Amino acid sequence: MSQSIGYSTTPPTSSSRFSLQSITSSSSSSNTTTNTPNPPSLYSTTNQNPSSNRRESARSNIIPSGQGNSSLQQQIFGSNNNLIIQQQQQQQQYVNILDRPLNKSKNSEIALSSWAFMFSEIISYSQSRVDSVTDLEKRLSSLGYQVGQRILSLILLRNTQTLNLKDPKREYRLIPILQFIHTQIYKFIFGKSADGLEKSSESEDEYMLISNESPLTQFISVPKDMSDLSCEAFTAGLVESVLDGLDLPARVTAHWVGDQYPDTPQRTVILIKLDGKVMDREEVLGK
Amino acid sequence: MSFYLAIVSPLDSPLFELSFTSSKPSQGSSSTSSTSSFPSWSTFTATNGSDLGTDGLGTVNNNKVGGTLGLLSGESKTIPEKNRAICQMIAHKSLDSVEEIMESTGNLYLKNIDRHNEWIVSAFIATNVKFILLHDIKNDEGIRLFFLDIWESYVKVLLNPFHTVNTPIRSSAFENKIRASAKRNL
Repeated sequence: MSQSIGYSTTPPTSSSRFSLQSITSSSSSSNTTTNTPNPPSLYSTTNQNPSSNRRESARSNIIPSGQGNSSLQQQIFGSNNNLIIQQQQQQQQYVNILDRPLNKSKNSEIALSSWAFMFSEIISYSQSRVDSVTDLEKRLSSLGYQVGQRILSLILLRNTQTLNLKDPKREYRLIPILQFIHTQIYKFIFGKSADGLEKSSESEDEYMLISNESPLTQFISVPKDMSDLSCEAFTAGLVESVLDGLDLPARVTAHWVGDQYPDTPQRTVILIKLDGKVMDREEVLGK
Repeated sequence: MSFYLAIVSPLDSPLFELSFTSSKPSQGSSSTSSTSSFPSWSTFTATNGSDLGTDGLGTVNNNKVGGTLGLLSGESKTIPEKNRAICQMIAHKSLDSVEEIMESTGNLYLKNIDRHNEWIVSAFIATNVKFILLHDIKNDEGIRLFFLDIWESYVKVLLNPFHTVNTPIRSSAFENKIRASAKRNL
């Protein structure tokens, strides 16, 4: 793969799409048919013959018996019909996710390089489907949101299971929640807590999470003509979902401020603008 | 002992419903005696005028799965179907009290927050979603363990990349897990 990590300054072409497809075809080691003359979008390729053939063959490599669409789901969720014999043969390999232990955290860390590669693919994929920088950030943010929902549940459950099984708790006041994100959530995702948590001097309902060098985006250099893009939008979405999950609706955005800080050129601020409802509630609880 | 469990999304729509009974005998009649002063099922009258209480509690909960999630067919409703509607109503009604209480406490397990006739409502806040359990006897400890079990199963379902958050859970394995946990704890 000769694709570089980062952004191309040229408008999105179809090259990234083809490279993505060539990955699928090489892994399935099947027919390497040429792509259709007009560049297809990935959304519609499921209906087109060449790619659906590839997907079928890729799937049959994973599942020996290749039962088509339903079998994958049944193996994940378990089934109670005629797959019993098949399951007996495969019992060693496939365990129902509900029976699998949740806290096997050993060896579950991901190499930063593989993350960087995947994130660059995510960005170039998203980039080819949006018109503006704002839309791109929105897309990244919604991806982060989905991650955050899961992470919050997982962290709370683990904390409960390891610390206080008797009396499961969550944070419900504003400042402890922000500190919870600053340390626990950041540590869980990035391996270290955020570099700062500040309150905006201009308005009461704005808080800032500061990171000098986020592992998510440290290899990304943004071209000059898109200078207001920050790929930390992913983190912003993540933070927003955690706040939502703890009943603190907020609008969260990411801003690159490295130009004001020569020492830390990658400095990024996650700006949290809290909903008015939250401030009202804090006022009542503060008494 | 009969129970009704609902997992409720942030938009108050049910993600999972289950009514079940427990085989355990009631532990100490003292806990149930307080409920006897309340009017029971028999005071309910269904929309079509028939009295729900005629069959008594024995046939009310026959392990009917609420798997249809509100998509009731047009055919004549059986008694459990109607009672399920009442359970849904009580659970939905209790959401107000749940939200009121959760604003000012960090506890995830909110026990006995509401009651309606002989039903007692307990709730569990699992971040976005809420677990609402209707039960007719007090059993704080068992219900806490039961909630923690469902929570773990729910998080496992949530972590499945093929599952979309806040969509109904239709996995039979999940239901079996909950039934097994109910057998152990309730």
